[in-house]
Amino acid sequence: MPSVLLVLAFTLFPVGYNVWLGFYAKHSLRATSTWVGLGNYAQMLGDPDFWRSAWLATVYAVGSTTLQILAGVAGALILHRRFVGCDFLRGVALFPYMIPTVIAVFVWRWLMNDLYGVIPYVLGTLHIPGMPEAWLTHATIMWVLIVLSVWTFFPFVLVNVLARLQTIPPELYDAARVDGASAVRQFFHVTLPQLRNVLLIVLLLRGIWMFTKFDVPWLLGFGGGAGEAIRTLPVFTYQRSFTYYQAGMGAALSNIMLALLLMAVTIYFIAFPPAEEEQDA
Amino acid sequence: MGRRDTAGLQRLVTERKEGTLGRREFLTTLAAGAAVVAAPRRATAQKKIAVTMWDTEPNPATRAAVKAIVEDFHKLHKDIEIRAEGMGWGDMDRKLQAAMAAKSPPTASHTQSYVVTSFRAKGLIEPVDDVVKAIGEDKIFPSVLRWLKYPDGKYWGITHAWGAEIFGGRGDYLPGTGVNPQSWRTWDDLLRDLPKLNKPPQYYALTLAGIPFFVNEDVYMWAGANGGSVFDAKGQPALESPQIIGMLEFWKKLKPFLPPGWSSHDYLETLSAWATGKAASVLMWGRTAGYIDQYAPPDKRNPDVFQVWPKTIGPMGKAPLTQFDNEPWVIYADAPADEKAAAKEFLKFFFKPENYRRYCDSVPVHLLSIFKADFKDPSYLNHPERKRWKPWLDAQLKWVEIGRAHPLLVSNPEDVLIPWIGDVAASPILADMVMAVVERGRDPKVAAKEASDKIVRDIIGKAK
Repeated sequence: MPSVLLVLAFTLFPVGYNVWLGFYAKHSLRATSTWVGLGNYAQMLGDPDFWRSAWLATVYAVGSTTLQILAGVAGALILHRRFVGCDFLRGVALFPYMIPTVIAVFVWRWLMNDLYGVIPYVLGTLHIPGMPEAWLTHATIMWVLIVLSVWTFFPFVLVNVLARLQTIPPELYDAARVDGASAVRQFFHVTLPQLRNVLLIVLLLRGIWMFTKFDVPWLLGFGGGAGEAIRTLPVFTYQRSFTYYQAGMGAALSNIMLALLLMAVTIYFIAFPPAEEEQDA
Repeated sequence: MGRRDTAGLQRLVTERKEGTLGRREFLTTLAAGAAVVAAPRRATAQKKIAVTMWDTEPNPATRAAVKAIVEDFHKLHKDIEIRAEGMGWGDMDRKLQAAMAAKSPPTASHTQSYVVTSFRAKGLIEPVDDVVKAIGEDKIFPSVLRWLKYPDGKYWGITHAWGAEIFGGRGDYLPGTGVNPQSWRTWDDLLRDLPKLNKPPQYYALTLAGIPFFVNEDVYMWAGANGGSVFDAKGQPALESPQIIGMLEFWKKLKPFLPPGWSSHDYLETLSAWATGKAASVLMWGRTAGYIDQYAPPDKRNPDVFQVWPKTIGPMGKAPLTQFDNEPWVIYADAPADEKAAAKEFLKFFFKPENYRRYCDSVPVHLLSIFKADFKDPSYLNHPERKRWKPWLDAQLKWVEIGRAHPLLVSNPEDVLIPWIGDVAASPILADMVMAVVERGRDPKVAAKEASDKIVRDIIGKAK
């Protein structure tokens, strides 16, 4: 019974309230609201800014999740080997994930600042043709956002993959070597199949988290100026609720995000059914 | 419960046990006794009226000044507890939204002039005429008071302190350039000389903030300096007017003289860029003196290096316009009556000369006194910081005296009455319009129409 109450209070009620609110026009500062039915949804679906934000959120989620997985797997493969200082490096690798987001983003803002930042300065000294003078601009801020997010969140992938790597029976590699498999073939035919399940879970979780990520794009771009180019769906939703003061519209947008994620998760589970995964394992 | 009360209760219980007191009489007597015993306790609990006051001056010097004033107030009003909390604007916006939505606002807070219009229209605040009259209506700058007196004849807020935005320029960058900023009158004059002040990557001729709130500031000031306004006489967006299109064209022409990453810079970054020599000019406030003392070389921390340059007008404008930092205290209608009365009592105390001076002196060149007499009072003017930055002080005073310092988004005085002005200021619509033109090369007329449509659909349409 207590667990049912907890689920009702902390999960179903907020979601239900949000769904209900999405049918109303409600100013964030007023307690009154007006029923508009599907009006909020109709307006949003006809708004080019909504579609642009959805596209930016997709670019960010796909780009950063893909690179996090590549960096996390590469890092895990390196740290899986025993070498002097590997325990220390395993600890250090977690640091970006342990730093509070607000600090990580502001440090990156300073590093990338066109007037004082060390990164534009160093890149400028290389005199590479076509290298931007500034990175926190409309043209390039999405790249900064993706790189910053990969740096911050890849340790999550690394830890999960490393944990799985350490449970792969060494006999599998011994057998592969006896069969004459090169290191590359061992990776594709032994390591990768063994990592499949953990990678699928990591892909699902990180994909959802990056699609709904608010703090990093908001703190990097504040929703405007150059930040307009990283106005992802969560940022757009926040602005509707808290800068346009349209609580009903903000709720409708959250519901759209929830629906999009449920669709993505459904497609994911159809493509990778859990039972099949267990058999593979 | 005192000993006498306990004895009475014991006697009551004994009589009931002995059957000399009926059940109904026992309960009635017990309830009456409990009420008598509880009454003084309730009175004790209500003794202190807790007043929550949020302000937007979180810097340590101002906090210390406010704390001292509150402590002195507590000595005189032992029945009132003032809970003064300072926070940044961003925090204030979010805290206020949450508090208002929950119908649990603070008793009083700082806010922006345009928010007063919005809150007044929604019935969220109440007039403070009694405070203004107690302070002395005739003692306050008329150009400070005018923005908070509405057509109903009532004052809906009282400015805590004022400041006017000034155009700052580096005097040490002028020698050898042939530039004399004091001769500037028009945008063309400025554009003619900016190339001579632009030495990238060492420094750029001008720095502007790209975060929406600060872009909004430049939009309405330059619109006003070009003879236009963000809104027409009916409160509808006037973004497709020649004055606004001219303003957007002007902005495009400024871009080559801005740092390449200007669109991501916030306001404080522009101040530090000017203080450290990365920008030759900046739109700034008196508060910037603190940045100069923090970042500029010691031998340059003076108004000969950090000069005031004139603001210019557009081809369709008659007079330049500057931003007026005229943030008022407002009293929230939903707060309990005794708290509102106590808050007003505190404000009357706060504005007493001996208290108010401490507050203004905490940021001497930015938190300027609302009292006219202070600007003739040697004890106010001879504060070391005010003496040191006298040209800055004089420039701000001049803006107020000529009445061309207007609150945010108020290009024309009547704009302050537009109910959705606060919603437009809070949204990123105007900043998106500027970015579309300056950073993404969009035709100004197209960008202006898009922004105009958004204001009509997303803000005015929702307000109906």
